Amino acid sequence: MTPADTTKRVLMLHAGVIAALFLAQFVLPEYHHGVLARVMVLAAYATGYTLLFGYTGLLSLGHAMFFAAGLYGAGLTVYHLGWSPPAGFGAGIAAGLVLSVMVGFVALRTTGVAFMIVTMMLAQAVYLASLYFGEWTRGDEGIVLTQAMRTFEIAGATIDLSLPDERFNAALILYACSLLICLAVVRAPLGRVMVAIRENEDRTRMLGYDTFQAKLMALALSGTLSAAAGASYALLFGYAGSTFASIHYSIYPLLWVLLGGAATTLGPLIGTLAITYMIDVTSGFTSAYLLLVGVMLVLLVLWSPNGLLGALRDRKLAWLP
Amino acid sequence: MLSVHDIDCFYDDVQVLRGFALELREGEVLCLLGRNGAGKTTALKAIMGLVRVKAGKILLGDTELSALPPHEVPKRGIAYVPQGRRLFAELSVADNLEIGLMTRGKGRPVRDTVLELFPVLHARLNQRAGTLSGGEQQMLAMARALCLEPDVLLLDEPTEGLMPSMIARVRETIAELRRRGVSTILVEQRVDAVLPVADRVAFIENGRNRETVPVEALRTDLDLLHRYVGVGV
Repeated sequence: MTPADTTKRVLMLHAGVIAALFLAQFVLPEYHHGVLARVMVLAAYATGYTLLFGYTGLLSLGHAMFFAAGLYGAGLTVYHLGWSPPAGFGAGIAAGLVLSVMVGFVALRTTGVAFMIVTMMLAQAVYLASLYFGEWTRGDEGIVLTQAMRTFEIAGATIDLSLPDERFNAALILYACSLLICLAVVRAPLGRVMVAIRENEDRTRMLGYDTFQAKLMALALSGTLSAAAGASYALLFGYAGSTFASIHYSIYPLLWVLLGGAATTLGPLIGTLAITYMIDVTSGFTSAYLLLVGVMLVLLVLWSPNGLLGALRDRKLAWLP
Repeated sequence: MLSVHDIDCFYDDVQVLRGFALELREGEVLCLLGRNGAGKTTALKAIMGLVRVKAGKILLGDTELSALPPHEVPKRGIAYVPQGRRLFAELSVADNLEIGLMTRGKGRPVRDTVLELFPVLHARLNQRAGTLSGGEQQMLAMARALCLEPDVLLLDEPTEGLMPSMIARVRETIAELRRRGVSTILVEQRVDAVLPVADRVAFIENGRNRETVPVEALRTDLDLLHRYVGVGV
């Protein structure tokens, strides 16, 4: 297969996935319609995560801080300052970008286990800050964005993000943008350098690359995409609480990406969708559903350490990005 | 063109290079010989900035390489093929070459020129580098380095673990690069494999360059190799 053929296939696959998600809103029952909107927002978060973990090989245990930066960046400005949802979304993205660059300058001075611990500790600091400043954030209770706060006008049209259709399509736009950004990055020179760093940082440096700068760019991109997902979550679901800054929300994207396939562009969506429905289905049978989900995850990772799409790429579709 | 001026290098408290000096002339193949642990690989790493130089300096023309961060050295036109190939095993042959090309912003024409030297890689562009044979991996490591279009090439034991036909192929490649004007420093244990392509030989002992002689001198002074490397011609 020539490189041009590969590019064509890759673009068609990604366009097909986006089209399928768009069409799903017309056939899904109301409940699954809502679930899929949430999955797409969380998949956008996981897509940001995989840029750092899957492609660059940096295992962060503190990504919830970037999600929370976006969540609070949007939530607090809309709630307290009366900003419009688009302005709040911009504030969320800006908060994520600034935080990820700051975290990068500190955390990227470490590697391996130390990097995991530093990111986890910094995320804990953000989580505790969200509780400490409870006067504005309302801590665990969180702030609720009313329907009026989530409504805005654009080109004469009124958009109400609390309505299921608007919410679904906004989530789809967010996910599609995240996916296409991820695809563009991994196929660009930066993406190749990120993968080279994951394979061996010393060798990459030996070939003339400033690996610190490349890792910082990967972290900033990853953090900003995660923040965009967080900001969207606040605006689409009308809630911003400190739960989203907790360690659980740093572990979830790792699980989604591991299951779907680290270093695959579509793996985060598959993983997020699969785990969301695993939890949904098993919680109907038993209160120990997390135990069941955990066992299933362990078995899946044992059977397929590269995740579902990673296994497919290894065995059948080597062209999958 | 490349000159090393009395450098000292350490691994923690252990001094490996002691006032090591060397001069590489334009378009020549300089073979660096010495016993195990003499400091040959460290000398190459010091040139690449991978080992810190505590005293002395390394110049490429007027540029002081030893003052640059490691990632800046290849951009100045120095490529390094380390011992053991050190490829990106999980990446394809094409991606390994691409990473070499991107360092100095080279494009497809450079890759095509490089692949003319290594036709075996042409058919394997989509294959994972880790699945190549030892000889093919060595070809790829050299090809990746040449994708930088270097003026200076540093080769660390390129014939290690290769069968005779591959050793001959490596030797031919070095000779071809010399014809193209690439200056090369070659570190080798297999003296017989490389002397036919070398212009000069530098002997390193206990971290010092003891002697640098034209390769012809080895034929008149039969004791040289035995003295510094422990083998005869």
